[in-house]
Amino acid sequence: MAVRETFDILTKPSVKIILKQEVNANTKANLGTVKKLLYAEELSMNVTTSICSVFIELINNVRMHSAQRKRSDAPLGLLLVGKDDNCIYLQSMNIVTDDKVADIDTKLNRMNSHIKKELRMYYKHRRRFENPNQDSDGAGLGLIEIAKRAKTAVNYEFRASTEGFSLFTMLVVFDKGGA
Amino acid sequence: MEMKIELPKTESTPYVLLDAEKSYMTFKGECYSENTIDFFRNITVWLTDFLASGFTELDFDCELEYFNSSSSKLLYNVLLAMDESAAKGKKININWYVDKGNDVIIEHGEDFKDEFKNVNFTIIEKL
Repeated sequence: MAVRETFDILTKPSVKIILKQEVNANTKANLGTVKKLLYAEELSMNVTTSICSVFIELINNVRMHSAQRKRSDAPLGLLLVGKDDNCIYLQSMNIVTDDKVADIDTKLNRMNSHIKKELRMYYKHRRRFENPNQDSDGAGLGLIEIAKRAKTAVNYEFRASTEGFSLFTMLVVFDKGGA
Repeated sequence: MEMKIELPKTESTPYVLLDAEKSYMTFKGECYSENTIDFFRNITVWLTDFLASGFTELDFDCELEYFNSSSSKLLYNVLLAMDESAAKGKKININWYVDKGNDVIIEHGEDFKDEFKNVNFTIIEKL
């Protein structure tokens, strides 16, 4: 799927946005609300757990990568949860400094080039060596977890914003049937 | 070493019981706190002291419904310490409880089991 199409998907009349979550420095991942919304969809436990996993990792990713993270009063980004008859969509949006773009792009490209089985191995490998420093800028486990749980490749895009900054969006799609 | 530490379950952290007298540990609930390092700090200190004591056997019931990637790393460190102790002759039993059909948590259990061969690691699917 071309990345530009991600916005088209979420603005389709058939897709209903069921949650908008502004992310700031103090945002707690409100998994209770997400679960309640997902229960209404009667998804399998497996799909629900996968969506919750990605929801948490996307919030963390916005926190870690947002160019506004040094300003405690500013929103860091936005998370949307959408649905249509067949899929659940999670989309994160935040501003990043342009010097981060190449690094994030490389990491996500690498994730998307792996098949699921390889991602599982890669996750295990990275877990052995990752430093659990909460201020790390997303060295990898969170992104690998997102890629592992997504139905398809993770769609992402950088759009030039004001000078030196870009809008970074990620879209992760889940099949309600669990495929 | 504190003989017993008990932490209540919160929205983003599990119920924790560390009991040196009974050689028993349990985690029960969800683990996705933004401050996972802080959450695991006392657990790690207690476990390090316990593993250095004269114990012969440890039972660990792990019943996590969900955990995030940073908790995964810290849980890995907990299991690694146990595995290293088991390699030195201690008997360590880990019961990984998971709801039937929760393939995400089953997969994590399988990966940990594959990683740590010196402990007795059992995946138990609950009906």
